[in-house]
Amino acid sequence: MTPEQPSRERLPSSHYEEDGTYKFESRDSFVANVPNLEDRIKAYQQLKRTPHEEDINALRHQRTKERMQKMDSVLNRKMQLDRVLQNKISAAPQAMKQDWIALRAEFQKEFNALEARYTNPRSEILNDLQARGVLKFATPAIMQTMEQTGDPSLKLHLLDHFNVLLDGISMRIGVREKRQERNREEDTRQAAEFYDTTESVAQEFLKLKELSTDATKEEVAPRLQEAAERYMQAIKTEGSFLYRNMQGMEVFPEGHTAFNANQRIAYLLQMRQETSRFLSETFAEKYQGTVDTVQAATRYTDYLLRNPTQVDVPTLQKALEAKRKEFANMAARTDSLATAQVNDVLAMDKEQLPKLDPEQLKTYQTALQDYLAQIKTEGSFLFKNHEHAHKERIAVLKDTQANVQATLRVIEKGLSPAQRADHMTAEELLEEEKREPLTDKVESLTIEDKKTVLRLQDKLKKATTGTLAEMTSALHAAQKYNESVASLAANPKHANFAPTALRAQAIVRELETRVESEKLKKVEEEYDAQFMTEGEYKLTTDATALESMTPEQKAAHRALLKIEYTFFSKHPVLAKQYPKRVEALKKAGKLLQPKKSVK
Amino acid sequence: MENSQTLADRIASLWNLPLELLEQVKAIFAKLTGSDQEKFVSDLELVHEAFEKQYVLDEEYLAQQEKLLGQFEHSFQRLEKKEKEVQDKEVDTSAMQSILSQIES
Repeated sequence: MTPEQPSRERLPSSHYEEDGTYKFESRDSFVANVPNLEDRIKAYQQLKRTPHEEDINALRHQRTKERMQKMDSVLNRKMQLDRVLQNKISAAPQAMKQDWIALRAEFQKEFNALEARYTNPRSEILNDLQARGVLKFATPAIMQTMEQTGDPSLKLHLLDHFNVLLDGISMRIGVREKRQERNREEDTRQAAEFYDTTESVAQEFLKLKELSTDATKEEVAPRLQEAAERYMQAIKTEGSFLYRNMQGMEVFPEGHTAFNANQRIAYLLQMRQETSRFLSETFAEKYQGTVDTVQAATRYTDYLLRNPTQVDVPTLQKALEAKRKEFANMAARTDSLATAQVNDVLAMDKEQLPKLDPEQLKTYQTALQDYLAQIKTEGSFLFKNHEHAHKERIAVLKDTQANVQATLRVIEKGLSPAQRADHMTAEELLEEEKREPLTDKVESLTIEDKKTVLRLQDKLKKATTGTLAEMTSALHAAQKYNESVASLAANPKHANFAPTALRAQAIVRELETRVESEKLKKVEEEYDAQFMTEGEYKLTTDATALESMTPEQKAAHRALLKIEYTFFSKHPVLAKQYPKRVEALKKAGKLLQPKKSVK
Repeated sequence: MENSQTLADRIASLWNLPLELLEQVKAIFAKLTGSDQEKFVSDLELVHEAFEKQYVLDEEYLAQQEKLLGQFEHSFQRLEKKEKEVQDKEVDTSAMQSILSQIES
């Protein structure tokens, strides 16, 4: 039952006796209709009847809430006034300084005196309780009785109980207020420190941003990127601190500009968005990995701001440990592909390479391509996972990648056109097509086909960094081009079209791979958004955790796991990426299946 | 001797006890017997009474603080007004001096 909202209005005076007590002519109905909650309970007590439980609970809540609000408001006003007075003393014109000093001294004196006036009556209440024997309740005789009843822990309960009650009384205002004030002072100091750090990092970032002109862009970029990330980090630290500890407060740090915590949080959020946008726009092409990290950091900040108390340290540590293992495995895989053969070919004289037997070159090419693919995989993994911690490894990978790519280009010169086309990127193939424009020389290639080539060139430019729609569009253009060229090449009269046809096929294959991988990325993002929080699965498949659930929790969890399993069924490409998860979901689903009752 | 139900009712009517303690109190009461139950409830009533006195005292203390704050906030505004007047006067004086020095030169 919802407790009624208490009214503060009292009944007309005709309802009271001269001494202020209620008239009890028609007691029950009268008392039940007393509008003020507190008065109603007192009336029941005067009647020696038990008040309604919901009334009592409502009054407990109401009193606690009102008291807390009042205490907070008084404390805030007191602290605010004190800080404003301090600021006035330091900033006032000389002629006014003494006036402000005097006002603050009087303010402190009056409040100290007021507190002292209420200290004694509080102690008296405690003394009175002791004098009336309340503290003697847990006498040895009673304790003995407790032990005889076979429940020795009961005496501890009793002692605890009274300690809590008495502590509660002595803590009520005086001690609690002091503790609150101390904590708030510490928080204020900390908030000012974070504020200053954020602003100094911001200055550094803005200075570098100004320095970054077209001429100096390349040189400044790494430092600018670092400064922007440090700024994002400072915003995150300050923002989450203010959100957790100081929401809705006026902050008056000593010797510091005063500020409103909510306004500051709003400002920090805005700065975070702007900096994040700046990072993605400025470093999108060159620092793709960094942008991913920043986006991850932004998501994490959002998460912290939304759930300030949800930082589960053991889980984070576990996740970090798993990540470390993943780093080590990834590096081991890359190093295992740097075989003696790969190292030999990389060290070989580049001028001699194309002269080797094409079959031998083909073997080298395959080994180098595998190595290159793994370098790219590890590199992008490191970029996406806190690249700051792996700078040295990234530098080594970059150097090796450049060397491998250069060697591959040399090897390709020694290969036949068909062998080359197999392993060139779409852009490289098209470049080659432009260098040897076979299509232009053949009359039978229609104007429409030529237009297709031009459209394809344009679309391919967008296909590398473009959206999925742009990539798909480039793929369609390439397919059309491929069909035209293939039909020409099929005619024995146009045998010279064979290399072009091979290149066209390769372009289509490459674009197909890109489109597929982009689609997979999208599905992965969708999956992460639905089923993961900060790199951890939201739903457990752990058998022990599942066993300990109540039947209702099991049913609810099973329904959620089913949704995740259905998601995988709809996206088999993703299921292939996470075979262990799919298997775990199946097992968990079976474990959670309601047991059939045996008749 | 009062019966358990009446004593339990007396506990239930202790409306000033913090809610989180009430459950604990009820659990302890259920394990006591006879005169222990009576002593327990009458002690609780004394604690309850102390809470009530404390509550009244706290209310009074808060009201006094609010009153004092009101007075000081008022004094603050008065002083701020005075400060503004002093500053305005300083501005007037310096403007006058600047005019005078222009005339003299």
